[in-house]
Amino acid sequence: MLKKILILVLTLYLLVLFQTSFLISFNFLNKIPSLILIFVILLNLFEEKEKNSGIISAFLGGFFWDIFSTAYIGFHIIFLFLLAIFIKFILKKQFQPVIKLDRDSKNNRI
Amino acid sequence: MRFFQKPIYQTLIFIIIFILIIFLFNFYQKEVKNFFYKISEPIQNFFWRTSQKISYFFETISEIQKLKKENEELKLKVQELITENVSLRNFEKENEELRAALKIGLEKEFKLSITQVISKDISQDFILVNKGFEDGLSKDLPVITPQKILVGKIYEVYKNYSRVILISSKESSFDGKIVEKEILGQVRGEGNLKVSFDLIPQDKEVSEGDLVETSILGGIFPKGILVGQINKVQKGDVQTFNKAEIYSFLDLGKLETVFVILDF
Repeated sequence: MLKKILILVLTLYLLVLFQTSFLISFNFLNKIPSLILIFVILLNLFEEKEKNSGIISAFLGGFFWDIFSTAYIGFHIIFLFLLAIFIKFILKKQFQPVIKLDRDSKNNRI
Repeated sequence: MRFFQKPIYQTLIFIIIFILIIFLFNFYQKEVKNFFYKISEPIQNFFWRTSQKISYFFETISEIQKLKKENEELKLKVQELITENVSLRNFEKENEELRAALKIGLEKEFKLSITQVISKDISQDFILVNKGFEDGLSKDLPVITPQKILVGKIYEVYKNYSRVILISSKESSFDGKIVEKEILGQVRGEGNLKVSFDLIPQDKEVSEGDLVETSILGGIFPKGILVGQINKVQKGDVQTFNKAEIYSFLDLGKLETVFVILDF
């Protein structure tokens, strides 16, 4: 668990630095994509339902985002946390019947 | 202790701690942010320099394309300006010629149409001008230079162009007169830009340097238009008439603008 959090911290920290120090130099890109936001959304979408890396990444990502922006600390944390909760909630609602069906089919086979 | 083991309370405690931490971080916001900026500086520097190099590379490429485009546009503009310049020079020349014509008072004497010479056929003593029947030109209209020197007359009229027969053409002959002397004769084209003054009565004294102008007789040209200068008089004992060579003032090499007399 601690290892996972450390990897997440490092990844999100590097992502925010890459975004604020590397992508910012490319003037031809009118809008710089928020790598933190993309990372948090993707992690929440594709991680297993029982795992909570998405929520942790929302906290950490939000924190780093706040540090390297002019926003108050907490603004992006809350935003990403709510987003992660929303994604989890939607996925839980959407895929519940499918999971149930899978379990049923497994039971039937047995 | 059981109180803390219930998940709802655990969550509650977590939220309270979270709010406290956030509050604390915001209280020491400057210090927290400064700390992170300080530890991030080497990595940020690395990212920044690398991105600058890459960005510069891409900008150079994009700049080359931009410069190429700009160069093409400037080339086009130069061409446009050259054309405009040529056009303005033509206007200037036309203006000068018109001013010269105004000094002579041509516009008061005749109704004129200004035309440009677009081709010359010296061997056949013809020139082509850039106005035709659409511009009101018709056959046999006299053509003169801005200096009021006779060029010839319109031989053929097209829609937008006219062919002018020069006075030096073998097909050309009309009545002429020695200026300030009532000596009449016939101006004849000899071909190859040569003109002669023929049928000069023997009893009339014509000398070199006399100026020849058009006469009202024959009605081809209006009177008083300069034809040329008597160059060499040929006198024959047997002939009833004398003949003289005319040095034409017409310089075909410089002839660019001519006037067509529409009405006289």
